[in-house]
Amino acid sequence: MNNVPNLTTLFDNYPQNRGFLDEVFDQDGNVRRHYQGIYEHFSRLPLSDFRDLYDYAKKSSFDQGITFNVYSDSSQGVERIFPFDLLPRIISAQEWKALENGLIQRNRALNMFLTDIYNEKKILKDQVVPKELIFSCKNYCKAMMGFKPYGGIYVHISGTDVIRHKDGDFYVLEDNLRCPSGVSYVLSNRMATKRILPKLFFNSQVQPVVNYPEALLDVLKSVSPPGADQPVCVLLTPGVFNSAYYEHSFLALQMGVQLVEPQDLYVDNNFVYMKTMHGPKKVDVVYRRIDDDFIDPLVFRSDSVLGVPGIVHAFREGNVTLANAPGTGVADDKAVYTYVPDIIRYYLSEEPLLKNVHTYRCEKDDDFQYVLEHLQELVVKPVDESGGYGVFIGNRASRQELADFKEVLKSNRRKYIGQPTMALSVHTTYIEDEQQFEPRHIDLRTFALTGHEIEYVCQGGLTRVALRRGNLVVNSSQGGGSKDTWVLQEEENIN
Amino acid sequence: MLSRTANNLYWMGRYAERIGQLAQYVSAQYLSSSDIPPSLNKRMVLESLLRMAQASDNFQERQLPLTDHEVITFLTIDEQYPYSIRNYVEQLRDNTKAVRSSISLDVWEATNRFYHTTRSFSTDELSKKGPYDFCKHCLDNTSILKGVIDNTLLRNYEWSLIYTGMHLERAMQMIQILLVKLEDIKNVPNEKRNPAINNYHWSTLLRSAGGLDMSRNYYYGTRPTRELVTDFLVLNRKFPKSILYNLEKLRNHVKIISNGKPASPDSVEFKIGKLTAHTQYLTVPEIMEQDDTFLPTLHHELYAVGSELERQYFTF
Repeated sequence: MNNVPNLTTLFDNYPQNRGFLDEVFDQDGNVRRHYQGIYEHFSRLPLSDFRDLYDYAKKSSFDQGITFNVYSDSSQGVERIFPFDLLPRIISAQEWKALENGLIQRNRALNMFLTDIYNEKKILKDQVVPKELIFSCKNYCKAMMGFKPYGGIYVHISGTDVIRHKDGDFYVLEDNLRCPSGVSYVLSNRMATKRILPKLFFNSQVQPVVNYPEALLDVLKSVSPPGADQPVCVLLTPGVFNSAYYEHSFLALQMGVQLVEPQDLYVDNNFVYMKTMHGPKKVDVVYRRIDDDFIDPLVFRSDSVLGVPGIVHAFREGNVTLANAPGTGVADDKAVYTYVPDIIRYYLSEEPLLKNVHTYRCEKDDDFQYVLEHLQELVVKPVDESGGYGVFIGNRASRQELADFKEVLKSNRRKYIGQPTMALSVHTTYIEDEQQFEPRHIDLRTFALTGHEIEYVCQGGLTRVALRRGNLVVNSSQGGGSKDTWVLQEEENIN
Repeated sequence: MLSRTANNLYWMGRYAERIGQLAQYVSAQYLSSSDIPPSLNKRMVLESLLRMAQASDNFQERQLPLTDHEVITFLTIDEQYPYSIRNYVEQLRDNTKAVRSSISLDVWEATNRFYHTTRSFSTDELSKKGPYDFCKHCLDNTSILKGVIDNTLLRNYEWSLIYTGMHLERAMQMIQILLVKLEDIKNVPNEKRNPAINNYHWSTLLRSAGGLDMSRNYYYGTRPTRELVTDFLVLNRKFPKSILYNLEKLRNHVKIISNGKPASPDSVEFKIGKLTAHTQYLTVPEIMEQDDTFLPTLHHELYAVGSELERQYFTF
């Protein structure tokens, strides 16, 4: 038996990375306390068994259809799985509590901010946030002016991205307040861990994530227009070709609601109906996974073939609730991001619980000068993009690229912000090509819900892994993978 | 339920059934070619197979040589031919994908697995092993899929829509293979006709319908004749592939879909009811009398049922 090589051999060449915080190993190379159980479990696994499990995990993702299409010249849409790493990321109960409180605080303040800027605009009048910044934002939605959605909630579903810096603290990297995706991976990663590592999971005290769809449905029902006795909620998807279609169908199934495409809905007399085989059926709440631009050709882009004409007006008439409300993108604008600590102080009279990454706003002269002079040390992002697109990483750029990018910056200062390159923490990850465990950078997408008198944070989240060595961009569209994320239960519950 | 979803569920049923039937007769016809009486041409087997799959014109257009390898590849795994089994499996999956939130995860996973495993069959493998392996794979997987549908779905509209598609498709496929076989027999020159040839044709037909062994059991081993085959494949109420069996099931499922609405004379419920009642009270001699018209008329009527379903329920 002793001759069978086991997993410890895979840790033999594990590099110690001084520049970053390693979630699994401390500075002396010892396994951190909350990872000890899992480390021991893995160390005892024979190497061949581990590789079998790894293959099994891949097959399991494939069968479940957790795939996305990659289009290339040679083939029209090859299906790839979103790589899933068997070694889970673990967050202690105490750390989680702090994070959770911070997220709730942030969402509360951002909802109040949205109510304010679309109505009284007090925060602008008090000059806490410059009004030019808001009105120049392309995601500021005129159709929402002078209107409060039911319960004053604009952002029902938010997906805030946090990272852990080398100082050990969590920092908010960005807020995602439009149609954040990824929660289906949280649920399917957990399902995979339970299937593949049942004993390990059984012996660990992990907070469940499985109740997320239920909580989401509760939130949607809580904001249905008053008077709807048995509210009909639907999930609106652009269709099967959307890259997040797996998630849309998965959530609809888990919530037991209809998955509808735009052509399945129509508006009559300011009420929204779906076209069923036995005639029209009134819809009360639409969890829409279509961006603002495409949701209603009468209000937004008139060339959109995706939208439901008249749905925004029906929303303003109070006959249907859209979750999230249109126009929330103004609050996850990366330039507005820099004001979130002030926004929290302004509305809640509290100190922010979560840190922001220091941000230089190119439209401010001092900051702009700093960005130009320190471009090499900074990450520069467009304020209104998502998915990791358009991000410029200074320390990876050539001299020519730096010079070129400076010109781009000068041409549209409002569009860019700069941030110091954050030292994203690393996590032990199995790298198939190397057949080794190696440290890889990770972040965490959290999922929080806000309904009428409901505040909920999913007890876990999507830990995204940049699989390429040294890479700091973790998006799935940029070659990232993911990990199951365990939030441990409080110690006293264990015994 | 959404009209669009209803349409996808119905086509899930039709494609699942079509794949199973295609696999069944590709395999049966191919294997039967080794039992062929010496006086018959093997070419006939391949032509007959193409006609059953309604693929003769498309095959000719491609100007491929009429060899067993080409015909089998064309009907099973050809990527360009839109009606190959491989592409039907893709259609099946697309339809299932579009209704993922209305069906169980098990049904989706069974379909998805079927899709991925089907795509892994290569031309080389097919030419080395022959079509049996591939066809068996398709038959097994459609059986698994039907089992999962039966074991996990609620007996409501979803289930009835899938079965509406399956029963309609099965009845139509049955008519199609009967028509082709009757033509094959007609095409045997007078001087070559003998009991061995007839026996070969009727046995192949029963095997293509997936009912050879059960018909032997039912008729106590009587050699198949035209009367026996008509009785079994058209009028038998116990054989799940007979035309009458499928019409009766179709009538029940469409009744469920109609949600108890009274059937007006221009409705699809009325049409199916009339068709079923008419077939129920037919006899084998009556069918034989209407030699050339019975099957084509029925085929035509079932096409009309399909369009009527679409008009009434799948378009809004």
